[in-house]
Amino acid sequence: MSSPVEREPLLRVEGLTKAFGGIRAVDELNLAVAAGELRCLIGPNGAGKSTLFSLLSGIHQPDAGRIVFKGEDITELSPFRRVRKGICLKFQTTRIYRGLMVGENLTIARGKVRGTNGRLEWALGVLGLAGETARPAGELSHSHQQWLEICLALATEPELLLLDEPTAGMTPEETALTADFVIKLSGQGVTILVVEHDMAFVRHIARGVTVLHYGRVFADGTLEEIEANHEVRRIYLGEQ
Amino acid sequence: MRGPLGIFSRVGGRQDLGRGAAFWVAFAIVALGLVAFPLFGSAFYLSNLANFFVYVPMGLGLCLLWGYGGILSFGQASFFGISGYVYGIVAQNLSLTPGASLLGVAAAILATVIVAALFGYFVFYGQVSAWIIPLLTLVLSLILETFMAQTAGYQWRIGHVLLGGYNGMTGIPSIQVGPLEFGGASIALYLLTVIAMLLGYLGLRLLVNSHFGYVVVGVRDDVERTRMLGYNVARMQVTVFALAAGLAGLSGVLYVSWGNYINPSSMGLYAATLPVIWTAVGGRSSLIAVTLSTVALKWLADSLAVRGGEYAFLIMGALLLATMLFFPAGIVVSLNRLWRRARRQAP
Amino acid sequence: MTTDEKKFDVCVPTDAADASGTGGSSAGLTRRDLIKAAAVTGAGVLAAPALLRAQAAGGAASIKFGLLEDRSGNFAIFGLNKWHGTQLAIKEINDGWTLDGGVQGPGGPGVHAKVAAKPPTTNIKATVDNGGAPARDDTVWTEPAEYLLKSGDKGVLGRQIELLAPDPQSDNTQFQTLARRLILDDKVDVIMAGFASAEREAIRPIMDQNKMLYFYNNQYEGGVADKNTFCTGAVPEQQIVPVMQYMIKNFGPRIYTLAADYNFGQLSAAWTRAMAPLLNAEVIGEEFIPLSVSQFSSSIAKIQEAKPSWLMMYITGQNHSNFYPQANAAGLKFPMGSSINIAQGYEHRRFAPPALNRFHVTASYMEEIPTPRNKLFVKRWRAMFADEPYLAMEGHSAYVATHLYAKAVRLAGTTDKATVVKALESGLGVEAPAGWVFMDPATHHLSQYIRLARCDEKHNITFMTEWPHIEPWWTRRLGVNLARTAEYKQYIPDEDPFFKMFQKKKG
Repeated sequence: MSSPVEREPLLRVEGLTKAFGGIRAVDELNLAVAAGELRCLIGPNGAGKSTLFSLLSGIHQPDAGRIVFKGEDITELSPFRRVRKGICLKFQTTRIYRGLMVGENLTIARGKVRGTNGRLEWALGVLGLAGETARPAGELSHSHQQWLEICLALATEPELLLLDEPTAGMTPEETALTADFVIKLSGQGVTILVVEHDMAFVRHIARGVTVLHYGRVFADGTLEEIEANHEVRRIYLGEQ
Repeated sequence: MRGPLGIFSRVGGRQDLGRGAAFWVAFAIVALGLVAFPLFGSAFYLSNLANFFVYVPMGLGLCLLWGYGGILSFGQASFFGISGYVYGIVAQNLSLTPGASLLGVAAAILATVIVAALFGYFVFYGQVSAWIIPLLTLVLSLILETFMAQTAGYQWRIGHVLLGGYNGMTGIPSIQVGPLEFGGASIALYLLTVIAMLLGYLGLRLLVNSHFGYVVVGVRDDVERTRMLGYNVARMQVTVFALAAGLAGLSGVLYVSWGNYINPSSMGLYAATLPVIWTAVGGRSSLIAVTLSTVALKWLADSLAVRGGEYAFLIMGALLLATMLFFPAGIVVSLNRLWRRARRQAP
Repeated sequence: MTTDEKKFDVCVPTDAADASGTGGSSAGLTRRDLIKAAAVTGAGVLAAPALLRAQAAGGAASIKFGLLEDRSGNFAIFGLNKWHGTQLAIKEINDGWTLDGGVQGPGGPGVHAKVAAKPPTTNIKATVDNGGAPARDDTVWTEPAEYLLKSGDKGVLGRQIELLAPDPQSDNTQFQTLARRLILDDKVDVIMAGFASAEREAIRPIMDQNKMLYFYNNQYEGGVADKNTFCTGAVPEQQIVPVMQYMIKNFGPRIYTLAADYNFGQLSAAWTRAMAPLLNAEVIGEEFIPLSVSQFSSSIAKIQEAKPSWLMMYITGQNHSNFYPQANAAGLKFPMGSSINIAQGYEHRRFAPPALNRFHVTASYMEEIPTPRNKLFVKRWRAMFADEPYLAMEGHSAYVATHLYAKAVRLAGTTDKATVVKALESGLGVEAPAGWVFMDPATHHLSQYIRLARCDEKHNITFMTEWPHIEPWWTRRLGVNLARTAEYKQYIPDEDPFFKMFQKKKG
């Protein structure tokens, strides 16, 4: 894996700041993600992980700083345009169209694109959704609903996939399956940022890890480096 | 869902009640019956039925907007009225030009769509909270009614056509194509309203089963999700709003062709509420339900006026109340569910 | 009597109580009626029109009389009154009575009904020269109390009149639907319909399309010139001009107008503005009130500031009638003149004294008219409708119109509408309870016997002066002569150059 600083990163965040009612959820945060990277974002509660995702996807506007995607400043861009640029978010609490069938969910997500999306077909197969197109999405199990949401995101053909706690509420087997899936997906060239609490998942992924604390990057490195970092351990233990 | 016969499978899609051979056979029989009715119906019945069918496009527009799009609007009557007035102004001013009434129809529907798009632009691009939208549309209809009601004087005219104030605009010519006049008691107008109703229904059914239709439903079910899948939600909402308004405009020109008259109460509070009642009572999630309920409720109101007199208001109000309490999804939709459940349970 | 009342029962769909003559101004909502109405509706009668018509048809040869007056909704109090007037007239006609009068030509009053108690048999001058008393107007002019004559007919041309009166519910589109129903389905011979001008204008095109004979029996802003339409209500030249004359003479030339902000109010105010200079007066202020307003504090303040000689009142509807108690409470003591309130909506009965104190109105009819003839009329009306709250102006118009129609059909010898129109244009005058009235052939409007009523602080009505015969001259001045040239429109004051001609004069 080449070092991120050698070529222009896919995503660059500079001095990003967002406050909610006086509290800085994200505080002059700097981050760079290279194309094709698979990285986990961890940190104690309130560290700003989900806020960062909402800023990246455009749900919220930052108070200061900028976001550069593929060399273009997208800070002012509305959310739907960012999706068209290639950033797609899987929400922390699953958002799918519960009243519609799985197939109909996918129809909406795919847009007016003609032709088949090979990656999507593969994903549906791996995640056990291939035969479920006629099932109402609300009837799927919780894990399948989360997988469906990942597939919806994939249907938009993203270059940068933001997964916010994809394994929340999953069994260890389902977590492992998800991790395998994410690794294979990364191998296909999709840049993926994952916010996770489940360290088993993070270890299974075994790639780069960024630790956020009080809205800033606290530590950044490989899984081994982060695991060995006493400061990281302290902030986690100290919070509990 | 995407078979070789794309359009047919789409029209028959699951975004509306009634699928399969049995439904479509029944639909065809009813449609043929309606078209053949002039052979054995009196001029009065043709005129009366035409009056009911006139309002179906407007009801269908609201069904699309509210049932499928999730946007409750009291504005359909406003667009009905704008259309009627614009047609009256254009058709009467150009009365000596051949094809004047067709120009009037085009101008009326165009004006309606433009006003709706403008209104929608401010509402949806302005990210107004969803719950305020019904109030804004209600305010629109009140403003229009109040404004038009005070245009009584001679200075309130466009070309040589007086707006008429509270008394309304009279002498509006019926739509005329060559020698064919679509007058209030004519077979031509009856057939035109039947065609408008059938095409409106089929066209919308095609639309809601198309990709666009699914996205509209997506916007209704989860705006944020749809936005985050790359859709310009505001533009979609304006489009649906303008489409619904255009359908109300179609009803408007059909109405003035039938009655040769329009006045501000066509845009007032009572008129604004009626489409909402038709849609709610039938079941806003289904186009066929709203078609049936619009015709049924207009027929009911007519019957009550003739036979029931002062009980009319009571009965309509009681009906609405009963629907809200016992059939919140709408009478037709609820009955359909009960029937399907009964069928499943049958030995 | 009973046969005819039973006929009523069959024809009038809702009110069983009416048949027994116990009055039906507020029909009791019995459960039986409600269930009957619901059952009939639920039966899906659309498929079986023939059955319904068989039930309603009183007899193959009856004359079908269509009436569309609001019995529910905003205008119900006016519509019920007119419905009763029509029913009373139809009963009298079916029993063989008719209003005294006939074809007279516009020879003026006194041609037919006015006879002296004793015709002068000696030379007047000689009598006076010899010291005898001079002849006096009031002896020549006497009005017999009895206004009904035997028609020599049972019904009209031997046919009974059958009343078909569905309720349009104060809804303009219902007017249209029901008008079409009466014309195409029931195939009526005449239609009398409408209270508000909007209601009239909604159906007048339908009447014209179908060449249906149509009577509009209500005061209004004037100007209708329609071959198929006859108007029996008063128009501005008959009400506004006289009341202005009286008020200016008695109270002064500074007029402040308060008008409802819609056609009637706007056009009446235009008449006042135009006529004021001709009567040496001036409109010093005008305010147009939207129909929905019921709070008048700012209007009252403006009036107090303007200090007019008197107020010209053109307000209408339930909301606007709140002005009177509010003005009274604020201590407003200006005299008020009107062409509409009291006579039509009986505010002097509905509001507590002295809210309508100093109110003056020029009416074509009021229940309080003290002539023996009117007392007889009121007695007959209340015998049939004991619970009638008030005999308003337009109930009288409806009554007169119905009798006029019957006379015209008798004269025409047929119910064919075009022929009846010609008969109505022949110069018919009748002894209405208000006084002798005449249907003008050229304008299709009725001359009116106008009385100026004054309401005092106890809400008693006194008639201060009267104009026994005011012709509907306005559309005639515009050149309307429907007997010669058919027209189908409504004129408005702006089309009349005379309205602006004398405005420059500022005294």
